[in-house]
Amino acid sequence: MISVFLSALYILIGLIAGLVGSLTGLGGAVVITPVLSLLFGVPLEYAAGASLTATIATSSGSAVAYIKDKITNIRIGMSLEIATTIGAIFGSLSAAFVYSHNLAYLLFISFGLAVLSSIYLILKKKRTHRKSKEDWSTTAFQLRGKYYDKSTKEEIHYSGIRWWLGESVMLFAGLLSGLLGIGSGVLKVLGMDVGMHLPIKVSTATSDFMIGVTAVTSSVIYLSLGYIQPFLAAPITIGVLIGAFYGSKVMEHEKAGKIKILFVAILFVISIEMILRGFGIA
Amino acid sequence: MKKNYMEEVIDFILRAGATTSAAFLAAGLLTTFLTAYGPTLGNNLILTGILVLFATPVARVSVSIFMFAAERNLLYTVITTIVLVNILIAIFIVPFVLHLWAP
Repeated sequence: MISVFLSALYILIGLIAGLVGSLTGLGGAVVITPVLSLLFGVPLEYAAGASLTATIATSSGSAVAYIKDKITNIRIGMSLEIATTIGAIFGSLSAAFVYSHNLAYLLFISFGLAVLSSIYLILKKKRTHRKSKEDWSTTAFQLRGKYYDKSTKEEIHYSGIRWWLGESVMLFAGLLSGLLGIGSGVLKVLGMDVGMHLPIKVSTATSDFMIGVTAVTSSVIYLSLGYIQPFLAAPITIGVLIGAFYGSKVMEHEKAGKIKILFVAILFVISIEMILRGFGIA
Repeated sequence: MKKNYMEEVIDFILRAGATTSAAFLAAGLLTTFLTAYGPTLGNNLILTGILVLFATPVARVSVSIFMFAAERNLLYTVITTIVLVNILIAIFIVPFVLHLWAP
């Protein structure tokens, strides 16, 4: 049953999710999946399928701005996608197993925990770029780069280190992406920022760039199992694209402080709800 | 020079992909609710939009292989090829394995 009302409602949910996602830096999927499954009774696999679709769209849409500004490091992103795609294959296979064995409650709990840890990581952020001693992987994998920082008006030269550590974190990020139907942006940023000592702007931009490839790899199984429902995925995706676009505009104006705290608080409640639901309490 | 070219091509692919798929998704919804063709055509338009959406990152990776090759960057030509192979495994082999699993 497809109704105009329901479609409009889905667009609205997508819009809010896209806005929240880009303002908090957590991505839209983190809101879509819980809202659809907790409030609208959409089965978790369909909610995840719709949110993955929206995630791919947001990645293609938002990566563009950073590439234009030459902040994205295409080489580093590409090399880390080796691990995210392998992780995504195994993650989505695990998801297929979990859904076919009626173990979805495990995913509710994992989803809640993943959001909680993302919130924690987002709140304690603001690491500054540190000059670190280059290692063998800096040269071997061509991890040097530069970008122009608009706010400080200077050209920043950087070199990444510990490629293998970044690659390991990305394996886990890919796994979570496939398992939970999310983009794993927070974990990707962490792997590049803390793991490889790349500047936070480069890490964020490159993560946005990578998410599309990770999410597509995860989505194939969702698509082939019929978990991506056209009349759910389409309105959600359109909404998220619009929301993410306006979110990035607000972000530029830096007025987002208070809204951001409110959204993080809501996300906290949502993740607790997901965990409770997983344990069969809510 | 070459690097700027690469960024521009990738930028174009992502931009075109996102815009085209969003247009198909919107057209699918509008067709369903506003025209006599109803959900069947709408459904097909949306599926086309989803396929374009999926194809965009794959196209981005495929094109990058040639661009790294043109830069004579052997390591990254190989790395990008591995990424494409992984995606192709996910598209063609994994669903097959899955259906053997649970027919």
